[in-house]
Amino acid sequence: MFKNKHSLPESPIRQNTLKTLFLALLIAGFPHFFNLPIWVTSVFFACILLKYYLVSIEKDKAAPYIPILLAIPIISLVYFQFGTLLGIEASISLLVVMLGLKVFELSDYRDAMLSLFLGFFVVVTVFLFQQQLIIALYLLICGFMLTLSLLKLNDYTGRQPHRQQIKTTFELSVGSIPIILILFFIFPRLDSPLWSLPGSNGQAQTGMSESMSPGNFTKLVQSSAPAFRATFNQKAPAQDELYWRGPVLENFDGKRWSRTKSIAKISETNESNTVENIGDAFSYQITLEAHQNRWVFPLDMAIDSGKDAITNSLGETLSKEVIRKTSQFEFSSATTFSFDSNAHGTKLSAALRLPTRTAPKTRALAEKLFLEVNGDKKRFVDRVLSRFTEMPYAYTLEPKPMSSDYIDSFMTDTMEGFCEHYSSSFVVMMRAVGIPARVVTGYQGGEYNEHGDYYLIRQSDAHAWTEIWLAGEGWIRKDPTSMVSPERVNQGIESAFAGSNLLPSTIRISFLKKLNMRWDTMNYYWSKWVISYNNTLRTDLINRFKSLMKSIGKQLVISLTTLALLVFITLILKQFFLSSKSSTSEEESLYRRFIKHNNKIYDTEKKQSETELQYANRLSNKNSEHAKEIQAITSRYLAIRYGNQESTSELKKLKESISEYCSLSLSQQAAAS
Amino acid sequence: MESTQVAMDSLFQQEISNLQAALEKIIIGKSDVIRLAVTCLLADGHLLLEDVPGVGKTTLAKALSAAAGLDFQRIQFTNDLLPADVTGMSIYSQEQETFNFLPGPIFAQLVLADEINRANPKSQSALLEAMEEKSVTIDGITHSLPDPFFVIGTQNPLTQTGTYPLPESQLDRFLMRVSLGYPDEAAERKILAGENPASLIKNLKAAVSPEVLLEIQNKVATLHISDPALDYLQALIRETRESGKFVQGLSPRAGRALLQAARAYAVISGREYVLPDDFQAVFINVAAHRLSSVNQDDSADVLKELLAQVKTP
Repeated sequence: MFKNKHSLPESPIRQNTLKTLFLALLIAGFPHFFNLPIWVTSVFFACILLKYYLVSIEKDKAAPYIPILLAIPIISLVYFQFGTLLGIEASISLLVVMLGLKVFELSDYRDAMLSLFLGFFVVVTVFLFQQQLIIALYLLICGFMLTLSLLKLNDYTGRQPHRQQIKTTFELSVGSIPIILILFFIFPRLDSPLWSLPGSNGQAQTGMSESMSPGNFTKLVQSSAPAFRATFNQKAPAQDELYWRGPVLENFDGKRWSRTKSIAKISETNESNTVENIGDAFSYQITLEAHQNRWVFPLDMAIDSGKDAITNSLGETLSKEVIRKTSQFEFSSATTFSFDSNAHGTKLSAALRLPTRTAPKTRALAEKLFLEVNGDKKRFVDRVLSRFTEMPYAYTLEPKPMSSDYIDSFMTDTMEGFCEHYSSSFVVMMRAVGIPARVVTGYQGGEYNEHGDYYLIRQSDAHAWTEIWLAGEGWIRKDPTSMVSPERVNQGIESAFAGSNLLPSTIRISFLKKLNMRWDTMNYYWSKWVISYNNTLRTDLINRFKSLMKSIGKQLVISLTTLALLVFITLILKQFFLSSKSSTSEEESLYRRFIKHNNKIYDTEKKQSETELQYANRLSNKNSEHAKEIQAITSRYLAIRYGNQESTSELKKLKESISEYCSLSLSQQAAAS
Repeated sequence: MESTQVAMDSLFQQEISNLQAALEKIIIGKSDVIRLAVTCLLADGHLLLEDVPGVGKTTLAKALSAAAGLDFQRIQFTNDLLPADVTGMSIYSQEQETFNFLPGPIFAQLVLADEINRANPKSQSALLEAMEEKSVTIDGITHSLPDPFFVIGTQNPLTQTGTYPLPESQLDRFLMRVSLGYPDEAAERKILAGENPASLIKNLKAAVSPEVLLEIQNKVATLHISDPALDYLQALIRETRESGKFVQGLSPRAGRALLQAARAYAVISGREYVLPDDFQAVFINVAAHRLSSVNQDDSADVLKELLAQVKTP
């Protein structure tokens, strides 16, 4: 009895309402299967499914103490899983599990409403893990289902037809779009999120790393996930010029290439780099997917990094902040340039260092070749590069197993490798004869999307190439991989590995490729306009609006705004006070079609004060050959509109007879003329 | 076709058309007036006939009583008529040593109150009260009037001297006001050439019984009315109040009367539901005598204009 006092205006909970609610909750909780520990979502699903079963056999008088008893062990389980109850994952797990238990003990209206609102929360929490377009669409469906349950739950009479409820839900959803848009674009937001997004705390994420060891790239290349998208403002460079520059690796310990940390430190203190003799500049935007790091990959070589990124003396570009969500950058790059041509001494020493015991055979080979060209550095470089084509070197994602000194093993023995093998061996060869050289990692190529006019660069486009320094010329890009597999650079990774099943299937099946491109276009705009919308863009938008206001003139804007507001208010008031009148029934709209048609064909409009019968008589006089049809339609319409039986079959007949009438008189009209 | 047959039967179409046909034989060339009079009867309202003498007011009343099988009484209103002459009175019986109630002429199913505006207000009120209450209370005892109970009042609009014109508020008791008017040439010829209406009425066979009439009245009172039709009715009423053309607009009672009349008209037309057309058909006859125009115009004409302005649903 006590419980009933607290429930809101008693609306009897019907079985199908509960089922809709449970279904909505199941759909809402589903994405968390991929985000939360499996047991959490399993408990959630089990509770709801069990309750669903109990409700459907009408034995849902579960003992209320069961969930209470279960609550304590489950809270402790969450605590043991995460070591806390506060982090994002822990608190969402708690929400999901407790919602499951709440549903299990659900017995009255209040419980149902509570579960439903928690369901909306669950929907929102999915966005903390995933923000893709597909997830957004999915969650729209969840919202729709939850709203439908809300309607059903509050339908006191229980007599609203299902279709009407769906229609109302649809109207509500569509009606909320302007509010969503206004809130989205106008509402102030924090520059940095209040919470740290999961993934930043140690979750493995595919993406470029700051070091390179054998096998790194093979993994990366198998991921078709987008790395970033680039939109060129005017023309784009040729495909084989698309080197997207990432971390520069100078340190080598015989196995692993890594960045010189100290240089990283210096360079980040805004040291100007020395790019000279710049050729044609390309300006473009990069929309970078979140990768929990600061790397940005502009086209080699960036000459203007915009206000959100810095390019250091190594030509590496770093965002000013860690990229936790899809972000946009503006760049301008040149493909012909000379870079650091005045470097000397300590600046180059890091690019000459080789671990003493590494790759003796390769070194010997380098020295031998160096002697053959009489110590001419340029000819030596060409000689080494051409050696890759002369000897049976192969470009493959699955190289034969190599010994621990993989450089020697690759150069002289297996001769099978991937870009990382080619670039590191090449750098070792150069350094062996005293030419400063280093590995540059990043992405190469990209797929042009004509629907969105942008390049899509996937993780599978990851690449490693090299740079050598020659006096007077500075750092010059050399890509030994292109010697072995020119297709890799000219046409992209797909053509280089056509037929290999190591590559992600999405890019292999050309049948689906077009579809894939369209979907990617939509994703691109989603990232560009929705996910990466931040405070800066918001301020931008508002400023643009302000300047627009100035240019049009305040008076006009104010009067227009007032007008719009007035119209809006009138519409709302009308909706409130005349809701029964403003809604046109189906038969009315059909009849209006009939009138419209007559107006058009016979120039016979229905007068305002004319009744339907009078109109029908007037029309019949004018159009005597159809008098029978006109009278039949009119009396059918009147019976539906003023009679007391509602019947869908009558409505259907009315619809048919009106369509028939319209087409009949139309065809006669056509025949007459 | 079977279903429409059933619908017709449930609406007493046969009886109603017989009734109209019988009346049309006697009152020649006035089928629309007859239709309205029957509407009034089926709506369980009272009828006010306003016309010059000799156009057939009495004949209509008598013919109606004969065709509908109702017993008939006529009260000729004069300025010395007393209320007791209408309602009846208690007379002391010396043998029984009690007062016995002697029913007046109003105790009939159809009462013709002839020249109602010539009686003094007191007698008028007695009649109107009886019409409203369907009962008469004399010496503290209430006597019910017969059922069906139908009053046809007549008025001569031209004789003004020595009359007590009824105010709109009292005319309100009549559901409709109808004028017969002169017959057209062809109809007049027929009347002149035809039989004496009095003998025609004598030979008339009742088309309906009072029991059936009651059933039909019942049917009318419960006929379905849709929201859009009610919208239209309200729009009409609102217009009489807000147009500023009348001293006072239609009252809620007048609204109910309109609805009732429209329902009866729908039944006569063989429909199970009310259309805006039904309101239009009865509107002027139901509303005109309840309203007085601001400019002393004929309120019927003003109402005609009003009908042309109000939007149909």
